[in-house]
Amino acid sequence: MTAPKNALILIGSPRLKKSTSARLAAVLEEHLEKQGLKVARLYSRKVFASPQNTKELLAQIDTSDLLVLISPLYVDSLPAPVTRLLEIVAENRRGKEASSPKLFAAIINCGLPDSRQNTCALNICRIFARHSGLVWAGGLSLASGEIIGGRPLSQAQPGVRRIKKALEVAAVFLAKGQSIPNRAQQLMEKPLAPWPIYLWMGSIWFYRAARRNKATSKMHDRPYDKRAVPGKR
Amino acid sequence: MQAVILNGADKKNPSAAGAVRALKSRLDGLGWSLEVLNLTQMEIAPCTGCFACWTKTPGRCIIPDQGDLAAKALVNSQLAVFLTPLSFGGYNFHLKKALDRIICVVSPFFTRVRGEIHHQKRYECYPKLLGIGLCDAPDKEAQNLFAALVEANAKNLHAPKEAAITLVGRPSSKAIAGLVDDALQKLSICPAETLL
Repeated sequence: MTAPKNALILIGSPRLKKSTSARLAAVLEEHLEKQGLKVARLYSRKVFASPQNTKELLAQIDTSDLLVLISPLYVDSLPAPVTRLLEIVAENRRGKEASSPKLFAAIINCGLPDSRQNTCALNICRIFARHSGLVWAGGLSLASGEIIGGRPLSQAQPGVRRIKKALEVAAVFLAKGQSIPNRAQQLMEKPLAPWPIYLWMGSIWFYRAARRNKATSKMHDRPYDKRAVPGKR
Repeated sequence: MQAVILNGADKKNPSAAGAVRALKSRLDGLGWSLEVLNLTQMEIAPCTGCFACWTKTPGRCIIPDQGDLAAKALVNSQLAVFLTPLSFGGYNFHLKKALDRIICVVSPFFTRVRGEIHHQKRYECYPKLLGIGLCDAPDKEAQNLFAALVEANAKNLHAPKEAAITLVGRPSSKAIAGLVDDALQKLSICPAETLL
């Protein structure tokens, strides 16, 4: 595959600019630009705001040599709007496969401290690439994404340096038209914190958020249980 | 006993209609009630990832549309069927939209499920899970991924058992009924002797 000249980063989080996906995208973009690529960013949620936006996305994909999807994990796979986006892109790519080869890579982040939970989502991306005539350039799988928690990577914890390095390594290889190497994944999948500490911190975060909303007493409610006793576990 | 089909396929899709008929016929015979949610005809907005269903209105999504019907039906059923045309081995947009909105059925806190870290149960019982994927042509890779995804969802949603089948092309009613029977048997819902 020849070296790409321009790239399009698709951000799959509905939280837009304040999402972990957008923060990862910012770092990847910086490194791709250092490699001489022209980079554009798009948010999947905005793609469906109007038919015009969808049209523009498809046109942008047609003119990009490298596509990178950066998305959170929702219930073991890609969020619904990202699924829709891939369905539309695959439909639009029909018949263009041979004429415009492009690289496609994906970076999936999940909130649980086990990067293997991103496997199904990455495999969906790989099969999407095959269906759409894109060259699969591999993926990166990030666990414990809530440690970044939508903050810029420069402000996040020291362990996040490894993530930045992983994105840099990925950018160097993608810019040459090559697949993301294992080394980048090894850097990406190292735990950002020991999992018991991460889970403890996560529980406290949810508890505090509920306290702000005056909802701590309802945290174990079962509103849809026909036999439910409110507040009782 | 109650079953729910979350149907992400178009109502006119012949394989999906065949699967619904086969399930209805078999479950009726076993004395079950069956609810079918045709998701393509429902108003369900995508999840916004706000966590309000865990921290503001625990157990309930704050988006005021039909998204809560799927969660409500799921926790009050003993069998949940995810029926979907395969989108690259995963669920299609319509089913995924509904599933993204059902994380409120689990708790934000953590536990171990089959050796993996997941969210704790919110409810005492969860339904068994049957995935039925539809694809135009055989695609082993996509079919295997679909089975893996249903298994992963079963862990996430605390399903006591799960099974996945794929209907390829336009299978006959008899073929669909056979596959559905096998899956129900795997889920210990349809004892072998009732199939005779």
